[in-house]
Amino acid sequence: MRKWYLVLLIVALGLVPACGHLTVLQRVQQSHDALALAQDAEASICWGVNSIAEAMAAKVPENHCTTQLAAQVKLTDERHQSISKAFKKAFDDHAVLTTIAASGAKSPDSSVVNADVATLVKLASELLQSSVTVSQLQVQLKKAGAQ
Amino acid sequence: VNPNELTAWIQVAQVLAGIGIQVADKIKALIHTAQPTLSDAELDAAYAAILADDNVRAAFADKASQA
Repeated sequence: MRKWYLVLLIVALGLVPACGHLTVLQRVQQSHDALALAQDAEASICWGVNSIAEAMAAKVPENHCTTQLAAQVKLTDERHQSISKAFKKAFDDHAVLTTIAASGAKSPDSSVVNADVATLVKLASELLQSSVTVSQLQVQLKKAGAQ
Repeated sequence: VNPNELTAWIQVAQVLAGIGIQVADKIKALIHTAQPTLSDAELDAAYAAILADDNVRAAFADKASQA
């Protein structure tokens, strides 16, 4: 789960747009990969699979999480559905961005995708706050910060 | 080739291979091609691969979002 959160955080902090030396293709590819890794990480919590591809192959119940980990971190079905809705919008918007980039645009506007990522980060934060494991981590980080 | 770029290409190829989209070989071939020297056809293939995965993932997320 931390992997998922960190991936979103990196994107939200603007790491991808900051890579000004990258080509448009590389930027589109990196934002796609960041979103994809985040979706895979959520899938790993929800169904114990490594990726969405594995989830599809396993024919998981798409709108229902099955793992004990999901219960532990309070990834309820309602939360999972909300997160999935946000992923759907993010990938739809990213597909538009990809199409615009593929048409030859030199500087396609990624602000909509960035806003989608911000929504996902917020949802991930809510999940993190409900996780005992992450709470413990936060305590450890505070201790580390105090040193 | 930038190592980070290489990793990203491999990730894309793995994702696409995992969902059975048969463009992975094209992507793997692009690993050996330093950008921005990609041909128009290679660029088209790369964008098509990303777009295909965007659409697959959006479709799955749509199912997962249903109450």
